[in-house]
Amino acid sequence: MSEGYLNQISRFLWRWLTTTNHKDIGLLYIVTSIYFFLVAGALGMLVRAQLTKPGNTILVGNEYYEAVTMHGLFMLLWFVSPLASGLANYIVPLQIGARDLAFPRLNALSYWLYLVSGLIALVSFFAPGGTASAGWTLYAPLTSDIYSLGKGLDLVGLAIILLSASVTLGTINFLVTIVKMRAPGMTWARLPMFSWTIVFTVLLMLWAFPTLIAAVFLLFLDRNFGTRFYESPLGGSYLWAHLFWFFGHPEVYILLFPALGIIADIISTFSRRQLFAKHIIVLGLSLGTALSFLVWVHHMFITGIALEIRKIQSFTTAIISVPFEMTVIAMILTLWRGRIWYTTPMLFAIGSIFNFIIGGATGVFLSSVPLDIAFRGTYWVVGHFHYIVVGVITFGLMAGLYYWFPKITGRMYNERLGKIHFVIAFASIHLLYMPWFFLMDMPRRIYDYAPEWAIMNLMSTVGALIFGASFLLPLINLTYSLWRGPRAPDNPWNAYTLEWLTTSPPPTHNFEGEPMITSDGRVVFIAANGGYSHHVHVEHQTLTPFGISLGALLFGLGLIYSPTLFTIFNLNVTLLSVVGVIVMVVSLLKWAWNDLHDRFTIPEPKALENWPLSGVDKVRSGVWVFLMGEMFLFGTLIGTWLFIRTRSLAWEPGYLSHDITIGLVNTFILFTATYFYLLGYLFIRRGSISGLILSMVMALALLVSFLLVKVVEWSHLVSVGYTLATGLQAQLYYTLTGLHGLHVLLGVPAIAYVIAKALRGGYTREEHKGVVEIGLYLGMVEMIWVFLFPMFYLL
Amino acid sequence: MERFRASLTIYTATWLILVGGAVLEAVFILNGIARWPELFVLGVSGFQTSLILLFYMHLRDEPISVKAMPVVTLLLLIALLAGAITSVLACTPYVSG
Repeated sequence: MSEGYLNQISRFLWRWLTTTNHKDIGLLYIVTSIYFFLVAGALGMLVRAQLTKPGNTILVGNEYYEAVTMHGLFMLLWFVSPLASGLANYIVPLQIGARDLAFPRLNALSYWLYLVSGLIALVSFFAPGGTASAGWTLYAPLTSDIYSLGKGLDLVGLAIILLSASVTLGTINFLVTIVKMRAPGMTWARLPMFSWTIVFTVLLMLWAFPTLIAAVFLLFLDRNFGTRFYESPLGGSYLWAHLFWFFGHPEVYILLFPALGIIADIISTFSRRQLFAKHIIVLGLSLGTALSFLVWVHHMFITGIALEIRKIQSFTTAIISVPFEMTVIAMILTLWRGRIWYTTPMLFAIGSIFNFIIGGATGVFLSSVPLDIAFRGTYWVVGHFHYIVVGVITFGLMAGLYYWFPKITGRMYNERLGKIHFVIAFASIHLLYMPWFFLMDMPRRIYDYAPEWAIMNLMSTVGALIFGASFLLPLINLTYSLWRGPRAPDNPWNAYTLEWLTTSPPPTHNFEGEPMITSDGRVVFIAANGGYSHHVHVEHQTLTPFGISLGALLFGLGLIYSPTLFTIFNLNVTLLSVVGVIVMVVSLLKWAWNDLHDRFTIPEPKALENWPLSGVDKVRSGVWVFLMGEMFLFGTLIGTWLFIRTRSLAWEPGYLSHDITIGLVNTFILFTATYFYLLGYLFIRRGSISGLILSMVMALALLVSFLLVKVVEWSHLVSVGYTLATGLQAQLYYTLTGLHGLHVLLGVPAIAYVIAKALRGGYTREEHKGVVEIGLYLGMVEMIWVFLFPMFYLL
Repeated sequence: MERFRASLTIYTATWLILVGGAVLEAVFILNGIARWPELFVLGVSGFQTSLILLFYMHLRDEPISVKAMPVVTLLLLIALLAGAITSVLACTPYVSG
């Protein structure tokens, strides 16, 4: 191999491993999600192959359950949302007139964590005992170490936690970007629908994913540390169902909203009309966002939950369809009297609306308690959500891929092949899923069935084959067009939104000049202020996000594929896992080192209309968003405590099992640590560096004292036999105070960073970024303790 | 200097209220003064949480504040008041758990 060729490869790798540009990251997301789509699709095909006729033996027993489980998880978590994320990464900054996302490094970290999480989920297939097989809902107690042997499920759990971390980072990035970095004149009213739906999507992610993290974290403890949250006779399996569906139902809208945004933009463009009643659609989606957290119990109607609760949630489930009916009607009215241009994206958008009517209507049946009880465990439900996830969402995302392909690549795709793809996909999807509504008496998740269901299953499998094969067309079409397609003009569709006013593909810095929307809606470009340039992005290439994620991957692989160093409870700590942790820590230190030396600074966006974060810089805005997510994480765990506490008849009051003096001392220490930290903030505002350092040292010492007191307290409790085996009360105590202690521990390096930066003269009276943000974090840690103290020491 | 002292006073007062609240909470529970302990600690925790949030969001002349959020501020003030009233009521015969 020639040296020049090697150089080319290394340059290629370096470029993609270190990029932080939103368009690059968007492309990485799109390509990776398509890869996971192929994996999930192949699993789905295997499932359909098994169900072609009764008595098949292609996949039986646990192998079938593994395929069903991982098909669902890969499709929902590693394909649909990430593909939407990819499009959002690429398009949203262009649509709002921004240069990049607010936090480019976090964006890169989001992507690499996503990739690593998917790889870990893939590797789980090869774990001894196989991968997860409890269904994508991971119902308890099927996930206990009695029914799910081996480490495969643990790897899937780790993958879900890493993915959730990736999602949380993405949430922060998109919210701050859309709120703070819109071009002048890009008011909320002018925001394109795709960007609007991303706002609602990330809000849902912010509130839903922490619950998933908490739920999977407890599952991880159950399987590896001997706790019994989900096996408890005090409603362990109920607890999982509550936590999972509190995440799970909003997740449906997390998947749906970006597709709806794409469809709305496309319908407006190809009807040559403004979207009908856009403000009503936005209002409807905001109602849908709020209501989505009030309907989760309809997934639990068959669990025997109280009738009053079922009645309430039956009502909320019925009314949540209203905002989406409004949206569909508004889209149809946009088409009405429009001068419609039937391009491939438009056909997919119209097909998606058609499927939405079928998928939506069949879902309304499930709001009725008696009908839900009849349908819940059958193919009716499977048919309903496949119509939504594939018929609506995947169609919508395909529409988006075709729509923005010319912008992203600078090439036109073959329109005729695109239309053939649509016709085949649209026809076959009904052959694939419509029979499932006629299988309303066939139980789901079975690999063999009675002969009377054979015809419908055969039809469905034929549909699956055609539908699956239809995706070869875009694969060929788009890949070929990427190299040989005709050059695309800047705005091939005569579309209205801002991304079409730059070149195809856009330059590194997105626009020549600063876009500004005038009061009469025209877009003008003013000369660039020099704040950003191509060179800024080159300087901002960094390997640290990749390094952190690589560490996570090694850690995950180490859980099964490495010699064991030692064992904690049931968890093997291996050489590879330790190496992974070291790689992660080194990368994090490098990140902090870069910050300490101001090596990754991006100019603050101009102070424009950015309610509700007016006057707050973007880093602080990001911290507020992050803390909101943290509140939901602890809120879920406190809710778990409440759930168990109210069911337990033999709950010993806290002050009988825990030393209240120790609790009070730690309360005092934590409050005082935060007090000293804020004193430091006051000092730096006066310009007193010594005052800042002294206060920070005090705060640091107090946080360390808090942890030391905790260690002493835990040691004492363990020595008197109060362990995880003692019961649920002890398990809750160790879990919640342990997680809180971990947050306190993270505060220690954060304060050390402030001290280090102060010592090297990084702070002045005028410029002391970072001090407040870490203070906000400590405030959150303090607030959580306000609840934990009475929960575990007084009640 | 005046501003520094004023801010210091607010910081110290907030810290004292938080620490004092925790001590009183423990004393009231241990001595049975709180007739409905669960409601009482919920009131105290609600009060303390709202106070901390208000502190971070609306410190006098602080750039920490998230401005233009009157609705959130109003809600926090209501929560602060509700927390205080709840914790007091939980110690009276009117609401005995």
